[in-house]
Amino acid sequence: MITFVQQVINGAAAGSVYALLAVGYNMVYGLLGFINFAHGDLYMFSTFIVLAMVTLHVPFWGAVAVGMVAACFLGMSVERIAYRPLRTANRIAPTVSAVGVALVLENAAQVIWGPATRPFPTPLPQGLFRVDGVVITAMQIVILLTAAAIAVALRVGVYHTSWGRKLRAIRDDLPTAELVGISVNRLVSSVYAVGAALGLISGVLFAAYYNSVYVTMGLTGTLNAFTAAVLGGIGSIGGSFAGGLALGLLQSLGAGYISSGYQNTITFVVLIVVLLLRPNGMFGKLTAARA
Amino acid sequence: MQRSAFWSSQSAFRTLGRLSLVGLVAVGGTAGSAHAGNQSAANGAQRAGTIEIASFGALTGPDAVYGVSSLNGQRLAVDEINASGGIDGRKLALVQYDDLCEPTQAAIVASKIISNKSFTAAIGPVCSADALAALPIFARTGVPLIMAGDSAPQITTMVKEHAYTFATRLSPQDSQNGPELATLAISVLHKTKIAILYSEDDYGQGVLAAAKPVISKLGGSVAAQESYTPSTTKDFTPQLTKIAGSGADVLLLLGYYSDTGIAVSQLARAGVSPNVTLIGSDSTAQQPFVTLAGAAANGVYLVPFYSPNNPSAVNRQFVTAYEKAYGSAPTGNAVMGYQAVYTLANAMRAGGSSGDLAERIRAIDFEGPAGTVDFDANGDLKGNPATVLRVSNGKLVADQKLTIALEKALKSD
Repeated sequence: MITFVQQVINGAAAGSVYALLAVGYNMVYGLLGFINFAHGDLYMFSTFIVLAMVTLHVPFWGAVAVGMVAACFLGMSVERIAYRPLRTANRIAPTVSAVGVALVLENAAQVIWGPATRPFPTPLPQGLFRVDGVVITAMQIVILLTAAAIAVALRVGVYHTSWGRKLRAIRDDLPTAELVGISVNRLVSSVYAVGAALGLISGVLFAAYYNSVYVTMGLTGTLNAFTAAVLGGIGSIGGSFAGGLALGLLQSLGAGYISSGYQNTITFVVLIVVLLLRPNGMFGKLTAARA
Repeated sequence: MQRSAFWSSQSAFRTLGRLSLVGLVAVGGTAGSAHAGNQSAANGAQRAGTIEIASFGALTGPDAVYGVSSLNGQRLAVDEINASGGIDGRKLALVQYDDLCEPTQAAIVASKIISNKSFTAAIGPVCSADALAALPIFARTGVPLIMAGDSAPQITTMVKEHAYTFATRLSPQDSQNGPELATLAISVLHKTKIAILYSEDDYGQGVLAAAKPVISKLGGSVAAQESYTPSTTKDFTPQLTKIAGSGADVLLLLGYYSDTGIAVSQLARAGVSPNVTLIGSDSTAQQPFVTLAGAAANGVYLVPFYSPNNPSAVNRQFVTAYEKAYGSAPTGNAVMGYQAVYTLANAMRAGGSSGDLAERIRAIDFEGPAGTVDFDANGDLKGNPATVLRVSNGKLVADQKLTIALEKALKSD
């Protein structure tokens, strides 16, 4: 029983980190129906910027602020340079340019910071508590609270602000939204900025939780975000959180109770079963294909 | 290994990325440490009297740490030999090739090397899978190959089966490290309930396969046996939580430091008791392991085949020179790279310029920083005594008492 509770807690913490990454990814998909394969690399790159700042003795929260600004700036630049010119093109075109952006970011990071895995010094609390033999770390509480706070903030932002209303208008019908005077480019740009900023929060939590920052975390991140998004319901914000948590729990319980060698296999078998039963994911709405 | 389509596509993406980088480098001519092989080899043929050595290994990519260390060791040896007048007045020159630690790339690099007649010998690579891919290609011309960091037992099988007399291997084997770890745990530290965390690749499986029969022979039992995907798994808590519940009193870490370091930093979180003794394999015994693992690394035992603390005079001189040149202590890969160049140089000195160089390499016998360099009939390094290190205040410190106890225990088995 202790082992089970322990696996659930650890899985939930890992899942919350996936969820925060999946949210930024899913917002873009929900808005434009476009798979941003560079999302993970943006998160990797901005996390490295935070690490570089910390290494230069910038206070931690200052470094996170710089990283946040850099992430927003990177997210918006990538959208402007690589995606906007392709918005009306065939869907495959922006997907390919996203893979291109991912490769450029990955290789640039490798040239600047090198290929080695680096530890992440953090002032976030590292203590742990024992409750009836189950270990809970302070970092896990920080992660769960941050994810919950962001989930609430996004819910409010999307459903109770004018920004959110415009966003939903674009999602429902982009040309009409433009006709009624919504500045589509500015809104899309802001979604990329918000997505990248959430990515950075996820990156910092990931780096602090696993004490590691490395170049290929971008690609792994993209794959985890993609899996979480598909599992939860692609395009749905609530679905990203559900998908992220489900992914974390699957990995943790799959490795704990079946076999660690089959960790990824178990995850993807469940993914396939979910897609067979609910093709739009756990929380996705069934929609007719857009022509 | 049960890789799903997603993870294979990940490595495909990565390959693409690296190839594009290699392309950029070749076009831009800003090759950094790896200067364009073909061009300089062509010039080399004109530089009369220079002895050209092809050097290949992972110089970029996630495994670059191993390749770059090896290259550093090779460069140091070449500089030392050249400074003392070279070999019979001829200077040594290294020509580097990057194989990214990928067998497909290693095969391409090997073809490039054998098609260039100006090479006297080749040194490399640092990954076993690359060596297995390159060996059959080197067999076409039989240019002497000194493998400097490949520990997989399959290499011996291949060399033996095909009678690859051109090949020698300077790296101790996984089949040696496994029994050492098991013996240290059971016979020396008297811990019999053993948990194992191993990397799901040739390296981790190789060490595991060699350790298991020794564990049962010495009367120990395997309480838990958990694996992870090297350089992809970052969350080790599911595996460690299972280990915590297994009641093991010792945990063997069979993997590369970049993975095991992170795993150790997560021990407390998974509820693993601080009373569980930790023993790390050769590839874990690197200083950055401690940086990644943090305070939890203190007290961890490590059993590398090489320690910079080895008190021999030749090692002290090597460590001083290496630290002066590169600002850090040499690793196992660095010492293998260094010894590889000396193996070649000593073999060339031994027989002048005539006769079969590969044969003379196999006959070599000299003292290197990591111990005696001496090959058996399959071109494998003869047994190297293991060193036991312990992490103390964040430093890897040699434990003489345990080293001697382990040597004794290994002999009595």
